Amino acid sequence: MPKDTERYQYFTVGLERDSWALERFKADTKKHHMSDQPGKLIALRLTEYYELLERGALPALASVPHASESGSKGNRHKGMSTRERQPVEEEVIAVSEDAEQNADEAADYWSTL
Amino acid sequence: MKWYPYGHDFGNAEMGGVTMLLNGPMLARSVPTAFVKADVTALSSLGVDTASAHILRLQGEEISYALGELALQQAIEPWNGRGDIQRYASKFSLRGLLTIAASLIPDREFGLYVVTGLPAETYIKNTELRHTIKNALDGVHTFTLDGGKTWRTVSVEVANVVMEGAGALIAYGDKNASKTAESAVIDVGGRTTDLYVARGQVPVTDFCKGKPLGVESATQMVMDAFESKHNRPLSRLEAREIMHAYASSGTRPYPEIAAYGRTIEAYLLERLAKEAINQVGLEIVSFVAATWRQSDRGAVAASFKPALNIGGGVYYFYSVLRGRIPHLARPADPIHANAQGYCTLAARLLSRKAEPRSVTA
Repeated sequence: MPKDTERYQYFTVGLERDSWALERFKADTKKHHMSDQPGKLIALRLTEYYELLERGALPALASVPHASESGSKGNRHKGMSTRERQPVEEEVIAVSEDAEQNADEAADYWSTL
Repeated sequence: MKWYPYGHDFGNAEMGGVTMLLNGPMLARSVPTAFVKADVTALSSLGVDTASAHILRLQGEEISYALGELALQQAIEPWNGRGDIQRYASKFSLRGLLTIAASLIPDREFGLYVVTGLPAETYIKNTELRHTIKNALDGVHTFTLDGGKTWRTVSVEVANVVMEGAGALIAYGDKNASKTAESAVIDVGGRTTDLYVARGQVPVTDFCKGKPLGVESATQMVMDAFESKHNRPLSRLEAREIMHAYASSGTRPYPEIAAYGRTIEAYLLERLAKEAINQVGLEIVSFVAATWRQSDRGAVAASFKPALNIGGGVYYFYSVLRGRIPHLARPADPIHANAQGYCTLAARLLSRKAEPRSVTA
């Protein structure tokens, strides 16, 4: 398919060979009959990702099949799949912007002991 | 010689280190707390990959020590110092610190300005230990990590010993919190669960407690149940692999484990792990609830902000704890949360040392 640079902005995406993400992505393209359109599926999944982020429902990526369904090289224990656990609602926090100030306050306190 | 701030976390299951190179991003590494005497020549002749393993020999000593994964693989009972309160001030702590720091910092010769931590109860009850730690780690240490081909020299100066949990609140605490508000940390490690609460950076001792409950408690339950069911003991390495597979939620496969020629199916291994983790998780929740109970209506840690769950136990027990403390948050890197804060504090103390405050008459 010729590139439509008027409509699309194109990116080059590299996924490491034999990586977990690549195996899952291959299984995903196969399941959805899109092996010939991997770029389209990347765009679709990326859109879904941002939608989920916006809804605060990121862990609910359940429709993506496991790599083991198509025989992942990484799975040493084939044919012995375990039941997937329910995703846990998490509140993940990043390093505080106040860490330097906290350290300053901590330096004052702990140095006295 | 350059000096680097360094956070040293000598846990009883994992030992971690965090440093900063030239004000760049923090670098962190942790390895299992396991040490065993190692004969590098003998290991190499047996085809064991010693090049990528952590094997340290201090100058003036004849014995090399393998640390981390290699020690777990090669020894049935590697040294881990569990139950020995003096381990924080031991040569093993120094060996762990030097090995991890040297794997993060490429310089042949460098200085480390170190902040490390002690569990809150130990810190309060054993004040002398802080000085013992400083005496044990301070000094100029020369060692090799490649069987004597090259030697590294590291000057260590312990800047401060703080309470575990204080590190996480430095790294993840909210400066804008009111001065009367408390911040809290639940640190679930390999062997212990330690609770820490502070107002600002000042600990509230009534809420700082510890209990010998952690990931290893669940691992031991898995080992006991496996032996009872399959009539053969599970090695610690196998049990560890099962636990890691469970924590990965499907991204890491269960190990292939056989008993009398029959492979044990993965779902059976998962069932063992799940049962043990649920059991220990309930005990941890019960301990937290009893220590941080704030009302007869069942409020636990309700006034604490933030309430953080850190340590390797996050990957196993966070969900059950969050069931009781709905506002419980976890850092993106829970394993290094304390060491990140120690490193930030070390950097601050190092800059103060470099630029002493002006003295006014």
